Amino acid sequence: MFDLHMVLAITGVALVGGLIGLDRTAAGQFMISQPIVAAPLAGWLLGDATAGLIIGAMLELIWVLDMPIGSFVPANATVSAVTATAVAALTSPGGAPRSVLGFCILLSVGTVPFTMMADTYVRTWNSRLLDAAHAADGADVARSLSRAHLTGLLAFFLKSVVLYVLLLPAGLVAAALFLRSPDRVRVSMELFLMLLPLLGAALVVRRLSISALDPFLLTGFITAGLLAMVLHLHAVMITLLTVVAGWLGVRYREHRS
Amino acid sequence: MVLFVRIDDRLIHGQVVEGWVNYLKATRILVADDRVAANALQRSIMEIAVPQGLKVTIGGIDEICSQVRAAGENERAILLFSNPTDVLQALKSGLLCQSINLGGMHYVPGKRKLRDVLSVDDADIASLRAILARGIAVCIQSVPNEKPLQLAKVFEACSLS
Amino acid sequence: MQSLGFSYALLPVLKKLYPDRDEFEARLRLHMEYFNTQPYLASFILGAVVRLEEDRAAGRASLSAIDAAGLKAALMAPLGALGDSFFWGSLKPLAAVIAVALVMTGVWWAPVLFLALYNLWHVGLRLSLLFWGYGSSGDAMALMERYSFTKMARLFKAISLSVLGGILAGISGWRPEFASNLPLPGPVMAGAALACTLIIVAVLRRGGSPIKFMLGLALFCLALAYAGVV
Repeated sequence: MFDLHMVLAITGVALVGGLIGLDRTAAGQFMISQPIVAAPLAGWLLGDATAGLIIGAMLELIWVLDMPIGSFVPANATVSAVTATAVAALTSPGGAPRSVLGFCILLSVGTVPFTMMADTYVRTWNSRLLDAAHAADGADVARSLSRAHLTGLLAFFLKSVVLYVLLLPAGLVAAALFLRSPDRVRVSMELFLMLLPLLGAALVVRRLSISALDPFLLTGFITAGLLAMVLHLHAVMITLLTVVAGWLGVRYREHRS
Repeated sequence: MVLFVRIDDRLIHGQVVEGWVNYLKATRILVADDRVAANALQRSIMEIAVPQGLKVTIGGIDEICSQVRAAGENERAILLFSNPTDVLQALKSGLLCQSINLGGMHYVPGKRKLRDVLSVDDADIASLRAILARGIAVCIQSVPNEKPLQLAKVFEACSLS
Repeated sequence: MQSLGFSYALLPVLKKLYPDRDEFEARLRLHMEYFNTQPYLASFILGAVVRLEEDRAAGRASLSAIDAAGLKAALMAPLGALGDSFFWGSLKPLAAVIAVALVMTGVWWAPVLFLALYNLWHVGLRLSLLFWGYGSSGDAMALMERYSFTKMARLFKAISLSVLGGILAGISGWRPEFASNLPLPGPVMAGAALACTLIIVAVLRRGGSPIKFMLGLALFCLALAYAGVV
């Protein structure tokens, strides 16, 4: 199972994933590390961009509001998304079937405790670097500060690489076992994938809406439903119009109050 | 109705407005802090920085405590203090609560770091002990989706109890 | 942790302003104290601190003027609240929800649009915040009057919800990976999707991490499969 090609692929994913992971922390935060970008990128590099798109979109919905507020360290959705995509792409070279996609998303849950542990550890280690810079005497303060900054970045990179090197083989073994599982298990994962958008939507609605039956959610629902039925508009057009509908809804509300 | 009492040296910030307010469906934040109450600039910045629809009241400790007693049941409020000594003062002047959330007491030189978000000096330890002695549970938890940690256990582990 | 990045960014400025080594070191140490805010709005504080340090070095600072350290302490928490709820709580979910809507309909360039939507705001605001902070010496009240962050946050949240409604309504047009083989007409499917989502929201209101709900959903699916429903 772990032939040369596989070892090379795992190494490649670990390095690229490590670089993408830097975007989460000090080096910019341009959101390349978000599942919806990181997963398609990893999928494209491994020859299955579609798997990346689907896994990325689902994990994006699920984790988007798990925020890095204050000093709280959230689940590392980047590692989850890239691991799930790589396992899907490497397990099914001809394009991952639905059951494998569902299983890999479920599998990504397993990465969360490890990523949180590693992130917390690296952060503690980095704050010790700062303490060292504090303690440095004389002219060394500036130098040890610059060094701490670079070492900090390097630590984050290495942490991701190590995580991938450990998690990917484990994920691949789990996926191999899954492929040999009874039909019913595979059918259940197809259903899981089908229902995931609803869970993802619910997770976002919970955090954004004020009331149980949110008026804006209904506005978009009715707008899109009517436009699709009556006018047969293209889906992209409909999405654009739900944006407009939300905006109009807010304007209406402001106007009324 | 005060749903939640929190000690956080930064008072109003992201963990409160995006974390706890959403989780508890709170409609008002009460800030009990003599220093901030006396600083007009900081007060106005705090009042304007919160999401629309969320009300903020900033006042001295005694002022807020008497407001809490007078407040109706229809409002869901979060009560913020910046340090345990202030909480103790409030408890002594009649604030009732069963549990207190410890959200953040950050490191400054001279304090002892017990946990990432918990650094204490002697006065802090004395106040926290006095709060625990009143039978109030103190939980260290910065955001709702983080695992809570009992302060009493941390004190035990650091042999401070 | 952010104090490391902040003091690192200030290094070249302080070096230039304070040729005297002892003074440079003292100022640098001052800026290494605890600092934590929303990373993008940190650029507003950074701009303001550069300005205050310049004034101080040039002897322009009046006695009543606020010191750089005091400004940082006063601004970091409120700007953190503002930035967290605007960038993480509103802009990011908006860009994400729009991108997901497009993925569901089979558009491959959704991630590109996500990056464009987010960074157009992010980079623009981050740059202008740096200069605004410098220009106004950290006048946060003026900042909030100029950019009505809380108003925009509310608008973005409303639009995100509307787009989510649109995603649910379009269930029968979802890409094949999510297609169900139920022989139901489109409107019924859409209604069922909305109802299911609202039920999950009601369950979610009791709290719990996404992990628990994913595992719960997986077990539910497994049970249905073994019960022979699917």
